Amino acid sequence: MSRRVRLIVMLIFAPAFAALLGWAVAGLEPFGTTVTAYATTVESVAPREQQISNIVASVVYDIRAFDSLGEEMILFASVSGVVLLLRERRGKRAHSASRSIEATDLVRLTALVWTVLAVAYGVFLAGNGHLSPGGGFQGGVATLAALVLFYLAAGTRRMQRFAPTTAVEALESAGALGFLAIGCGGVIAGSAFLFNWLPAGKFGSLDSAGVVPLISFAVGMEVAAGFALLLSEFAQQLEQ
Amino acid sequence: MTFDDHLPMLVIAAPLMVATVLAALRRQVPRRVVESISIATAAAVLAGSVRIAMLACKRVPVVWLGGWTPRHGMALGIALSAEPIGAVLAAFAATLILAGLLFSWHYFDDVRGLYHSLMLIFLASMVAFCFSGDAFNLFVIFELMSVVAFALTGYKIEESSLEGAFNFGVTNSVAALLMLTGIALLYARTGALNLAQIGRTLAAGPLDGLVIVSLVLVLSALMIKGGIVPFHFWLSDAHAVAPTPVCVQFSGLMIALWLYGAAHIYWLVYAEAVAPIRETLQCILLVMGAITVILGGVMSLFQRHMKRMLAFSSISHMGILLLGFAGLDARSTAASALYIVGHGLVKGGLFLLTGILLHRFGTVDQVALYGAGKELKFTGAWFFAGGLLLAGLSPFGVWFGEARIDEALGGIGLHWPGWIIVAGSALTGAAVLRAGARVFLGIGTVAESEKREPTEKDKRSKPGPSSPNPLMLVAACGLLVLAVVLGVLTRMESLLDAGAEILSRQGLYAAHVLEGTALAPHITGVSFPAGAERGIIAAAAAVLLAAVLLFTRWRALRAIELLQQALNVVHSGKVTDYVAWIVVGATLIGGSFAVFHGKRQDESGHRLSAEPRGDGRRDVHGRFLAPAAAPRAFDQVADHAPLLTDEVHIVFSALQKLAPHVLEDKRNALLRPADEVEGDQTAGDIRPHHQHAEVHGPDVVPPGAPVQRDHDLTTVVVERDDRRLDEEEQEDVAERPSADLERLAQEPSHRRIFFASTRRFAYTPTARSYIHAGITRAMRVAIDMGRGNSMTRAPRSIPPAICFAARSTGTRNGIRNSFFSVIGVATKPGLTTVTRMANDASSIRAASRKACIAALLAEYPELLGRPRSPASEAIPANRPERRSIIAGITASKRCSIPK
Amino acid sequence: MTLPAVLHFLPYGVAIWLAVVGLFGLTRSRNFIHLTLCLTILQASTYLLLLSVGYRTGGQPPIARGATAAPFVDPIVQALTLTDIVVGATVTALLLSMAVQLHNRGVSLDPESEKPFRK
Repeated sequence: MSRRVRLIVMLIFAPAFAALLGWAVAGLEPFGTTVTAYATTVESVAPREQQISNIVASVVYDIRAFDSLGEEMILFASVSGVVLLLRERRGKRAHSASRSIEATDLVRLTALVWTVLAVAYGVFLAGNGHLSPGGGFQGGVATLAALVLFYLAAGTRRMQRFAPTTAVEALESAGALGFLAIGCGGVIAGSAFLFNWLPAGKFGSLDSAGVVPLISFAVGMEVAAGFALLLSEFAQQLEQ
Repeated sequence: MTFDDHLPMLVIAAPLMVATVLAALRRQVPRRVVESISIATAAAVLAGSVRIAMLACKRVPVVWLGGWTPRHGMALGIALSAEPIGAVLAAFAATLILAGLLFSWHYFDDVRGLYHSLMLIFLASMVAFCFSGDAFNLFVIFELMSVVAFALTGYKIEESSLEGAFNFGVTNSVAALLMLTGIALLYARTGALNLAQIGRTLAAGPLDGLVIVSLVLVLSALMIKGGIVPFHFWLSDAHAVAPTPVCVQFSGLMIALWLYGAAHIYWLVYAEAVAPIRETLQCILLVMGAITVILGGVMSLFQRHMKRMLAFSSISHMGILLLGFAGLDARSTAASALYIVGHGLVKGGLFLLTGILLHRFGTVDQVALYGAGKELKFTGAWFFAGGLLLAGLSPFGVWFGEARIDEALGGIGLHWPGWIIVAGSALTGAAVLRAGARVFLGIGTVAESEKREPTEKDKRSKPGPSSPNPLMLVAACGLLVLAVVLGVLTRMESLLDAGAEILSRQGLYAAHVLEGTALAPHITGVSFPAGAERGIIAAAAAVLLAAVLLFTRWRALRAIELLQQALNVVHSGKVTDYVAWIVVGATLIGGSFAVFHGKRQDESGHRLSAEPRGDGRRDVHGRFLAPAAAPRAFDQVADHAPLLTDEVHIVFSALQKLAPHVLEDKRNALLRPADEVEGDQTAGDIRPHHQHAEVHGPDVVPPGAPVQRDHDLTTVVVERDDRRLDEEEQEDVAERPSADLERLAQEPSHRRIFFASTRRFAYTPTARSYIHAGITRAMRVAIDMGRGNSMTRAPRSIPPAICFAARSTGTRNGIRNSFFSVIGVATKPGLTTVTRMANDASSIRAASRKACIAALLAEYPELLGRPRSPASEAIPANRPERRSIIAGITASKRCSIPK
Repeated sequence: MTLPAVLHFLPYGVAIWLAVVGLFGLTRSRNFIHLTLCLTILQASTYLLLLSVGYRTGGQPPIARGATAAPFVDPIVQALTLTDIVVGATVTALLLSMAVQLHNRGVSLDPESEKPFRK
């Protein structure tokens, strides 16, 4: 289709598609009134049985942990895919001179301070996910922010020295493997895969909620390492 | 839990674990070790899935991950159910991955560990897809498979691979988002993510725009992934550029698996709910399937790049698969599953043979390879065999599936798809045979216009080995041999038949998954399909057509030139076009459903008895104007109030809200500890549960009326039949209302009035727990009911079941998609009467409430201080019944009631 | 009750608008990076739809503090949205890496340009 034909087609069909979606949405209950029994059951079960505060974390890491496993593997596969796709850096437009980012001392100092804070915050988010809003995915991304800051302040080569690729890959695989191993722990404990085989502990304490903090930590590790790999791969594209 | 119970999950977890380890250790471990480990893992998965398939002969295990078994019939966790068709397809997935990995042993000059870990993740995702029983989990697996596929498609990092992968990526991401929108709509309606449970809840609810559009979105998404016209454009781009072992997975199983997923979702979720529009759905699927078959076949004839040709033939065969699924019954589903296996084997083998050519010569362009394959005699022979198999030569692989599809469709009276199938197979078979003749025999002409077809330039710098590696040949020919002997595997066929039958019995399957009722596959013997002569005809037609294409100047025909130009313009390679086609396709499908749905709505209003219906019908079309329509609807219904009060009514939600300690405790046992409930009750608070009906107008109750919850209400309930849920009903007999109406309406001492809205009941945990116990009974009750106004007997303890019975009555009267307000009066213990109020959504909710109030007021005008009409009985103000009535109305307010 | 009826469907309307804008942008795009971002808009519409379905008037964030019975907003859709966001980010990363490699090879990033397979 030429550009114009496509425009005409879309001008006809996009509103029709919107009308179709509107027809669907008309069958929804008014905003704020949809309450499902699934949600209410989970809301009552999670604090009582698993002694977990953050109900979203109980859904993500315990009740529907298989979805999170799939999501983690999506991240793993995608990072592997990016590494695979960016594995050759030759090409017509590859830069001949390396351009590293020169940062001033002030930038470096601030970045150092904020890096430490970001790591601390990320670990807190990941570790406290079952008590307050947070969790592995969020904590992993926050920890990644530390690496991004480091990259911005120090450049690609120092970042690679600080976080060598093999180590980061090993961390990533360890995270993914950790999740799977915890799942198998449920099998060994006699129940199904991904069963919460650690004791639930006391409500509100750091060691409550069984395996949820462990899974959260493994996921955080994998997310941080995976995105760090992505960052280093894309950064290396600029610096040939 | 035994090892066999864990097997479905282990078969998914093992390749994932090996994949993560391989990815981490890939630089330290030599290539051959990595390859051996991955082949061993694939073989282990194959063994595991074959064992699961064997076990599926006897029972269908359901594994609840995390140990989260369903509570009171509501699914909490994610279920993996190893049903027979899924098990067979999982074993097939392992077979294809094994063949692909064996092939890559020598195919790639240099491959890193990441390729193998991605292939293993792909295997895990295919197996997980076959077993998963949860809608959102299917979406996650959808994305997992897609992400791995994108990465593997772009593996060669050439211009065309990257473009093809990008097109693939964008279109399939749009598909994923469409599917997620559909799932979100389903969750909003049913509050569940487990497929069986969604199906059960949808079947009990109305069929309105939301359900239909979610069906359209999910179907469109899966058809995009399955390569059905007009969503198929990405397929040819992606399959042409992906590395050969990866193409085998895509064409051999992935696209077919997504179409099977569409059928799976249809059977588990939509089969009962969309039964009214089943013919429309069938028609749409048949038309799309037929167009896909023909278009795919024709396009494959025009191609010179062999992988692109095979991609278009895959599109054509996916059209045949869709024709099979369009039969919408168990037999055709089983036939289609068999076809998936047969086609996958043949297509996989053909792709691997093409890969041998690519490995040897560096190109798969027919024109460039003209005559070059003459020394590859063994490969060539198998290539011709593959072409004949693809054309549907009987009694081998692909023909089995096609013949069974033909039989199944013929069984429901559709004979024309069979000829489309023959035509499509002949076209694609001819394309393959022609390619084989050109490459391996060096015969035939090459037209000038053919040189304008899309192709890839020769990239290989040095020629490959002179004879193909035996391992590659083993992989390729192994698949083809399996396709040849497919007919021998009758056990697999009967397993597929049993599996399809299980899927088609949606209610039983849902009960098996959610409550654990036993379900055993019913393995019967299979007979040799009829229609062997069609296979011979198709193969002969393919040979003839190939000869015609080779030796005549068919391309010189003006019509053919125009057709080629038109098709090339449409298949432009631009991803923006592809997205536009997706929007067009989805809108057209949705639009056809909307048109047919509207037409049927018009016709459905006719069959109710005894009530003025004209205004009710108008309300259907006033849905979009619900807020504006409400006053109008109320007026209409208020006009009917005298008519309604002459009928016998029952209303329920006061029953649920107020009276029953019993009901409330049962409900609260799900939600709160008992002492909290006790405490509330003594305080006289009425807890504003979200399931309660809304506030009725404050003008209904005389201001300042003292109201309290009192034990009379409990007594009211207890006075009625207190049958337990598991007890057999003594009487099911429906009684005609007409003669009894007057008599029953005049019995004063047992008159109770309650309000309800059936749609609301679909969401209460109480109703959920009762649905399970009550619905079969309610259905049984409904069967005995006659037309619109009828009476039936039911225990008081399952009022929601009666609402469903009412809906079923409406169903049997031809009104499937109505909302009900059930208004009724219990006239003696255990006796309830149900009548249909009005027939649509939110406006009617408002209208029905007001109608209930109007009915109530008409019945008891003393509530408003008006004198009673002589026709009704007078109820003195201090009688318990009156207090209960007032309490019934007031308690629906979100307020506490003073002591 | 308190809000006009149209506001009851406003969040869903915005989700539909985002979806349509995303799809429209996909078909009008002239750059692969722009294409990827239109896909992000489409993903955002699904997040909004999911979260709007789960909202509950007067609801609290789903963090349980002791034994109160405050109504929570739906935690299930929040979990679904979390997963969706991660999935969207990963797909974006893959598509962008393809775009980067194409750029390195000197191929035009315009979807409307001549495609290699059709030269």
